[in-house]
Amino acid sequence: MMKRKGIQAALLAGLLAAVALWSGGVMMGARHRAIEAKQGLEGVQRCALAIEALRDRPTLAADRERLDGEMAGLIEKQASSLGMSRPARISPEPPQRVGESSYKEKPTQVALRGVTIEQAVRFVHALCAADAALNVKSLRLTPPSVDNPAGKWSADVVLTYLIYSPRNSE
Amino acid sequence: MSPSRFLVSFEGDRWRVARVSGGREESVEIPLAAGADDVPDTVAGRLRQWGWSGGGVCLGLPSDWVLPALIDCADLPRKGRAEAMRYRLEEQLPLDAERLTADFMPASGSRVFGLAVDTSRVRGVLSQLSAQGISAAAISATALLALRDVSQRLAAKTDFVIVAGDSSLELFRMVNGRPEAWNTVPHRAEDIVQACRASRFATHVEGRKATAAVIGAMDPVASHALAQDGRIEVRSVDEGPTWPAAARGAASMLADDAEGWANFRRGELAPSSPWGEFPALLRMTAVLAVALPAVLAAVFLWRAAQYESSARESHAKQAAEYIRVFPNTPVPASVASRFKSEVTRCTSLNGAGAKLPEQRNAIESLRRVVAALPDGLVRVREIRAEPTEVTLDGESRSHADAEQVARALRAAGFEVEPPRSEVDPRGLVSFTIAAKCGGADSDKAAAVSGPVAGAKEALP
Repeated sequence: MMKRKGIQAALLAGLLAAVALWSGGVMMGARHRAIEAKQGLEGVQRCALAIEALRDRPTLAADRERLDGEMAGLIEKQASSLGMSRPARISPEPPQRVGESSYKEKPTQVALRGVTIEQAVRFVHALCAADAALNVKSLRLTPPSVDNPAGKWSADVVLTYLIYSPRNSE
Repeated sequence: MSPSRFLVSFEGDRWRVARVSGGREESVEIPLAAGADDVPDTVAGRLRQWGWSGGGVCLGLPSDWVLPALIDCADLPRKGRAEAMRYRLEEQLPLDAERLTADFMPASGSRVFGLAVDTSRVRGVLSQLSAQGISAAAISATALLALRDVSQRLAAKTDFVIVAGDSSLELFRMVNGRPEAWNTVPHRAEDIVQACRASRFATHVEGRKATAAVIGAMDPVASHALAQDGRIEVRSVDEGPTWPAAARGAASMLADDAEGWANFRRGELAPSSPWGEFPALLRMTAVLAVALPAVLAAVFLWRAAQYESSARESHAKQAAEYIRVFPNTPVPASVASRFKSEVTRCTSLNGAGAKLPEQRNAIESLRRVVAALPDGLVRVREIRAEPTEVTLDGESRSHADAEQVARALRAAGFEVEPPRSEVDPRGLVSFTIAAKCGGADSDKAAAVSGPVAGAKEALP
């Protein structure tokens, strides 16, 4: 009888030990999740602060390709504000990836005719000031002919801006 | 097949171990040595030999250990009725109620047939059995067990049951198939007749002979004397020994319950906690072995609940932070990864990260070149400005003038190859100068150079 009860007690103790082990596993799992959630919260709070700070900074790259009308409108607006005649040509080019980076560069050729150097330079300055993402990739200035030294210059400007386009998003 | 049931009965000068298995009964007598009163070791040995696995047995007591009495319970209160019955039984017994363990069987009307045993006496036997690892699941008188077995087969009008033992007869007066009185008488014929007559007066047998059923082998003389008395009709139910009926009665008591039949495994003779049979140290160890994992499990689960609550709180705060930073946007499943990707996106868009390609402005190169040109020395035909290089096509009066322009640009920090120049048909020198933007020197030069407005447009 005692042997039987001893076996029963041992079985009960073993069962409870198994339950204790199981509950220990449950606790460790919950602890891991709690730590993960707390670290996640700290990370989220850090990210939130960073995002708010980054949002206050000027944007140097677009997250999408601008519509042609957007760019042309900005160029014409700046030309008009400087008292220049309308640009002779605005020609958007297809975006090209910059090396192995996550960015593409979108060029737009702008041809100005009959302008002074000062107007041409002020024009590109104004564009860059109005939109921090814009950059002057190249500028070709051609003076008036020798026969007409008092004439105006021609300027061919290539404006570019960067588009954030990670390779894995393509 | 029904399991085996065991009866261990004490019969004064011997022990009897009986087994009921598969409808068959078998028993063995174990005589006590002269002067010995302990339970022999062979009892447990015999049980094990018969395949006993440690279950509770039925302990049969000799009739002279049991004190019977008929009591009337009509006026007893409901509350504390069992205790009151015990004290009413005590009134008819030679022992104090505190020393008794009693059980009751319903009898006719408001009467109850009470049976009691000396608690300490039976406890002593139980301890001896326990020392051999034998536990009793039920305790009753052996004669009563035999009566229990045959009572189901008795005719309804049976007035007496005589259980014929070796040394005495147990005379039960029956009413409605239940015992109402119990006398132990010697085998002498005159004693039996006298007891039946005396008991008969207490019954309500009118207009017919009283009937008596006999279990076991009754002395022929006594049987003849009863028959000659003319007032009692005697018939034998079971002429063999009484132990098979007792064994069957014990098996029946162990198989179902003893409801309605006396069982002294109650009160102070009730089985103690199974833990009570273990030695103290082993008991403590067992308690610890059971309690410790249980406590640990409880603590672990409680702590797990706390951790889960903390995790839920953190997730809720993450969601709240998301709603604050991204209003009017549904909260995604993984808030943290959404925040990380947003940081990457913002960093990538405003150049805070180091991955933004370097963007140098051609207008800056142009400004520096124009600022460095000597006044009135050359006529510019074309300027092509790129972020890292400015190409100048122009005319001068001499090769030396073109070289002077190149030197001026070098002085301003540009890397300038010697200019290519040639005399055209008009006698002027056409030249091309390529100025590449340098490092720190060029940056320094750029810092001190003036505005591009009003720069040289042509030779005078």
